Amino acid sequence: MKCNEFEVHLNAVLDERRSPESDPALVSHARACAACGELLTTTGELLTGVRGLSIPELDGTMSQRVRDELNRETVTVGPRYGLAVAAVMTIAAALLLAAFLLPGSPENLLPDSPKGDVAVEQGTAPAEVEVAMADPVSLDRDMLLKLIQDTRNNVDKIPSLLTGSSSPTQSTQDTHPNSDHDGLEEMTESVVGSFGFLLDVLEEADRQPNS
Amino acid sequence: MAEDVRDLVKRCLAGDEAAMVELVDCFSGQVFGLCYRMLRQREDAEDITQETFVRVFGNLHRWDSERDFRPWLFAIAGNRCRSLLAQRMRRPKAQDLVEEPPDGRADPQAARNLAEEVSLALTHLREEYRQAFLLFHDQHLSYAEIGEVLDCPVGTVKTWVYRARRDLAQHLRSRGIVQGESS
Repeated sequence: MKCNEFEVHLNAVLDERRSPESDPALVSHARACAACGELLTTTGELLTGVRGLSIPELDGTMSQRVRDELNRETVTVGPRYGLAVAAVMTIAAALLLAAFLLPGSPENLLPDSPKGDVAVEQGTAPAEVEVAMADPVSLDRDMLLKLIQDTRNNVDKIPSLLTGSSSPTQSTQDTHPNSDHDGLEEMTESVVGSFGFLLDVLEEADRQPNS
Repeated sequence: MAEDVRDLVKRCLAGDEAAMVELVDCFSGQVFGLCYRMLRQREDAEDITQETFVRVFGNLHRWDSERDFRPWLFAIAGNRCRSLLAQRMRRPKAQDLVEEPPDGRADPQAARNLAEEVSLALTHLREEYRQAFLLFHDQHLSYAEIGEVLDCPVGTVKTWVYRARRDLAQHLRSRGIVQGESS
């Protein structure tokens, strides 16, 4: 065995958690080579030293501490999440309601109620266009669309806002399975899905008069 | 053992409080040891151990029962430790260094104690080398488990452990701790 092979073999033995001093090949080479002999001795001493390292004893109250903390979180975090869910769901419900009740909602965009843009494309009278453009109903609908778009664009910030975390680093770390944000993110995704559906309905309604 | 843990987890998920206590009692020593080795501060290690189990119970339904429980548990603990270490880096405090071992150069008596010398040598290592070395040789975690805890590839862990051994051995030799054949 050469000296470089000795070091490789020594590390392999250590990786397998075997005692290097009881490996015949290592011992044999170490007897013939002073430098490798010293490395073998030092490594043995090092492992002995590591075995002598102490860790303070953990008292027996950890399970009680965990239980207390879980009970405390149930009391304090529960309502916060509840309020968050209620708030987001209320907004979503209000938007859905507004989309279908406000004038300018999809029903009113059907071919039997032509809008200004349709009128322009179809070459109808300028007077009709003006009426449609000045229609406050169209503005409401546009505002609704903008609100939905803004919500979708900024929705990734909702979990941070609700949990009071603003650090992007923290947010990255919390992609880990033990993240506090996971529940909120799932909830947010669900609301985003609803917004997406609503947006699709409105966009589809936009296209219908042209088809 | 693995089946026992799966049963224990199943009971925890069913709301069995006795099983939750059993799970904590079963693993808290190992988790605390891991946290203590990473953080080198008893109170912080206790707090992170507690926090780890709170998170474990909050996410127990996410654990894939086809996989081993311990690496999953250690990954959570390691993640919490790394977060705390990152906080310490941003806000260094004198108390973080309180539990460093005494310097053998100031106290020749301490040099006779091999464990203290190793402990001293460990403080001179790069943080990642020290953690990987202790998790392997002291906590007896596998390379794969250490990779989960430190969030890095197994190959990197092996390199860190190897370099830690090399540097520690060099430190012990330089301190004249080992009476080798050449000395």
